[in-house]
Amino acid sequence: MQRTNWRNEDDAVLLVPIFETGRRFYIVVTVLGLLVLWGVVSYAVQWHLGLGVTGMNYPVSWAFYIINFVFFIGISHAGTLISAILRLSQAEWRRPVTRIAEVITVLVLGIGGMNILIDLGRPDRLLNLFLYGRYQSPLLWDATSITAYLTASSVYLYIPMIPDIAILRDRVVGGWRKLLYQVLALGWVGTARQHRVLNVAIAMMAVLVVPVAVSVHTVVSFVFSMTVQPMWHSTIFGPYFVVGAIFSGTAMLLVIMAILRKAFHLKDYLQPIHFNYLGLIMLVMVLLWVYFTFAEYLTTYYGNEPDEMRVFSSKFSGKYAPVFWAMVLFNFVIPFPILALNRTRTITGTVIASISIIIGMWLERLVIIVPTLANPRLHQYAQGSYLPSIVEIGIMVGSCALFALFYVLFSKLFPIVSISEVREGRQETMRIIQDRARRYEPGLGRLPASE
Amino acid sequence: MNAQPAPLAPESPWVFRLQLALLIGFTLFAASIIGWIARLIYVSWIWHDVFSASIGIALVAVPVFLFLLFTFNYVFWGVLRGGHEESHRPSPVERP
Repeated sequence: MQRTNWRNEDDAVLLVPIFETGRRFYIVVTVLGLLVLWGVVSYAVQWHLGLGVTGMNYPVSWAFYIINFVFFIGISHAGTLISAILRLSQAEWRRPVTRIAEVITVLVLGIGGMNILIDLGRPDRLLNLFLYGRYQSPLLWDATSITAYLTASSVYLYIPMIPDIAILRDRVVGGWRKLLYQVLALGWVGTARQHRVLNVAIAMMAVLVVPVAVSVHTVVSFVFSMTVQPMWHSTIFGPYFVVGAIFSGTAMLLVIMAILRKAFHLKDYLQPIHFNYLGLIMLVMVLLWVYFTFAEYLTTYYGNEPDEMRVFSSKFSGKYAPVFWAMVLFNFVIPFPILALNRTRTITGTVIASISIIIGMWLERLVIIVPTLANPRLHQYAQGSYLPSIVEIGIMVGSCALFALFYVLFSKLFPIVSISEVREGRQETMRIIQDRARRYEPGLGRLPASE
Repeated sequence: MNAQPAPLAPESPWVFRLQLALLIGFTLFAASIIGWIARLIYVSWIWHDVFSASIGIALVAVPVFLFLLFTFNYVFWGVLRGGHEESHRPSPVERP
């Protein structure tokens, strides 16, 4: 692949990962590839021997795969939703963050959906689900809303990327990449009409993806709350899941931003203020999560309904108490003080809080799913417990590695920070902010209009 | 300052064919999802299986896919035509 002399350009650092391949790239891809292979082998074992090789049993028939499904779908809220909200609210600091976030959404949605397929005991009968599915089942609502969100997120990722793809097309001289960029750039040359079309489309998509994203995790919660299982049949599960999703999604976004900042030398683009602002968003989400958790558990406790209390006790002081209290530790006790104090809301601080929240939110999904199934309403007939098998652990590790691998490969093909948006911001931000301030600050209206 | 990028080579007809294939692929995907939803509604109707719930969900899902189809087509043709018609008149915003 030949290239024009891109090194002297502004933002050349954003093109380095695409045009230069170091030894570190191959090491990372090999390690991730091996982990994915572990997952593939684990699934091959499960395919061959059936779900008996997992730790799932009767009545705990949903476990690691469904936990991962809910967790990954939650993580997906990092991207498109946050990006769309920041665009709609005209937060100028969003520019280097949006692409990083949108890629997360597209990748984890695919991997989350894959976990549902992995959970199928008879994957060879998958087609029957599509041909004869019952559309009043929340499981099919899930399939529909996740497909809609994945499609919308892919379009929302692609449209703002067109000018950046054109930048790559103009700099790559030959090879398959040239063809790829030529096709995807759609003949972009940056005319006024093209900018107008793109801006209108981005604005329309930003409006669309917010309700779609909210609906996705609400519908994921319906899979549980539409049943009459103890501690699942709750009216606040929809918003509770949405809050948890944005919470864990923001945490994942911060961790990935920190990794990219270090690996791709993006210190000028991902500044401490980005981590500070996202840390503040996460602080709000910590408090909202605590509020919803408190409301949910207090209602159950006060109601004192025997079947509900059996699940409640197993979480508070029974078999699942270590997991429950670890969840509280990771989701509140560790991150809250770090995020609440200006002094600790640094890059390191927000990353520590984010890692804690990612662990805590995965545990939260486990605490929601497993104790209820282990203590069902008809407990006279079945009570159970659950420990994951090595096959499930292998598939989980493989799923996480697949996400990381796809992310690395994406950053090898496309700029992970939007070059065109950053350039536009460099030219336009001051004017936009001044014009906006002029509209609401008394006295500023008398100042001469900016260029 | 930015270095001047390499002049654009005239794109081969294959590029447009592949772009068209991209559009057709997306259209077929969205159409098949809508078709699938319609089939599930039909199945619930002939089996008297809570037809109303199926309609309720479809009323949300189908417009979303139609909107995505419209937006993708709008961007596809808008950007392509914008490039052809005004390729000699770059906008005030920096050309990539």
